[in-house]
Amino acid sequence: MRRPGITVLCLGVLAALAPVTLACGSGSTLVVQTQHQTQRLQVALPKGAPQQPVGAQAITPTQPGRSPAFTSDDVKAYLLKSGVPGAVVDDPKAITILSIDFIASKEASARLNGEALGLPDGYLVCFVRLQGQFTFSGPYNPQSSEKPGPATFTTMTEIFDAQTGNLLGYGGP
Amino acid sequence: MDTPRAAALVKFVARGSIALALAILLLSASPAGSRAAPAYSCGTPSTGHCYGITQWGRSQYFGSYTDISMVHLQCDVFDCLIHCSSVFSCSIPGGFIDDEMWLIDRGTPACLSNGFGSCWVEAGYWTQYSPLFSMDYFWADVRPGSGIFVHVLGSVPDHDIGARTHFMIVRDDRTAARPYLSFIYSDSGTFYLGTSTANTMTANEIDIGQELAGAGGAGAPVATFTRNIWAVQGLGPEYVFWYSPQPGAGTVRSSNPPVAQWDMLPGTTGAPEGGQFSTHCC
Repeated sequence: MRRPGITVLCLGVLAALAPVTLACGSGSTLVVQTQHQTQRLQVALPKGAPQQPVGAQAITPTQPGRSPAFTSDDVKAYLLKSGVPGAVVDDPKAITILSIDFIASKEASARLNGEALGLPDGYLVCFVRLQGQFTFSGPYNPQSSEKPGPATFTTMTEIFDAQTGNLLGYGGP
Repeated sequence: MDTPRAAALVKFVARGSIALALAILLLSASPAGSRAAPAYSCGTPSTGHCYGITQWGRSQYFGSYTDISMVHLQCDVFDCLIHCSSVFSCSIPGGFIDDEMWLIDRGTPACLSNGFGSCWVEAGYWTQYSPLFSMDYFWADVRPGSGIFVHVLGSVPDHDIGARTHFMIVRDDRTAARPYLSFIYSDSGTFYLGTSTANTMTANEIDIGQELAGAGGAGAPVATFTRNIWAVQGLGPEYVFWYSPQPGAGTVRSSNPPVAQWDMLPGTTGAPEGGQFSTHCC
């Protein structure tokens, strides 16, 4: 089922904590842990097969119907014109392309320290390694005075779908 | 046309980006292009962002969940595609705007020392320069001992707009590796599942709200965050998200923009479970 509705069932808690059970208005049960004053309720998780990520439009295929559907030169042209997510350089020419490889998703994941791409193992991706100054921000940091401290990397990776040219993901090492 | 945009035009023509140059010309000549875009100071795509969020903390969260009412996020060409800080300094991409949820570890030594000062898993949706200002679902992680990786999942379908999309992150205790699972799903069929593998973080903070990058041109109608709940244990074989509602307001950070506020505090009469928090911009 691809339509994972939410169901509040409201039940169950460790008996050792001597919970107090109350009746909920909708026929469900709310259990209150008296020891920690923490309610324990439940949401059903979505079931069925998730969608395969398709990414966002990026490289225009120049060899439609072939695999891969674009070339390394197409990648270079795209990066020159469109820039790089996370890059703070003004000129994309300041970025060096270290490698452009068409490899299976499983291999790409291995190169990313096990980062799961959500693709079948044999799915062909374009794995691009770049060199330059790449800066990424994190969530708001209450410890800093104003804004979160970013992290800067000297290399980064972009991954494109080898069939569609779509950008599937990016990051620093 | 102002000077930085003229410089950008020259730069894109020089690069052969005729389409981008034409876009600049067209928008500059149009009434929309001549209007004064809302201005703010929210850095670049990489740094100095602004936030309209609330933050909760406790010793450990096993997961987090929120329902976001999906709205059209907007970002015009001069901010999302091109960011000009001076006549000599225009860059692509420009800024972005999003609504999202973060599950954060600010205690593990390997996270405190990673440059960000934290590890996290985040999930949400944004609009930015590519593809031509569409809205996309995304998730990202920073794991102990690893860098950051952003997963671009796919565009937000029209039928999700105006409805609620569910964002859930939970530690999966069904295996010894205990990865974090990132669910994004709607009642109309959207269902993405990401897995943050080899992630040994111990989350002690949850943030929800809006993040803004750039200098102007973004917009977002009011979006609400309801059913703000947290996982009281990891995912087990029963495959349910055991939770407790957020007990209070947390700490609200509103950069104005983005504007963030509680419409109904958690636990108040008539409030949805976990209250109703809202953001808008700009």
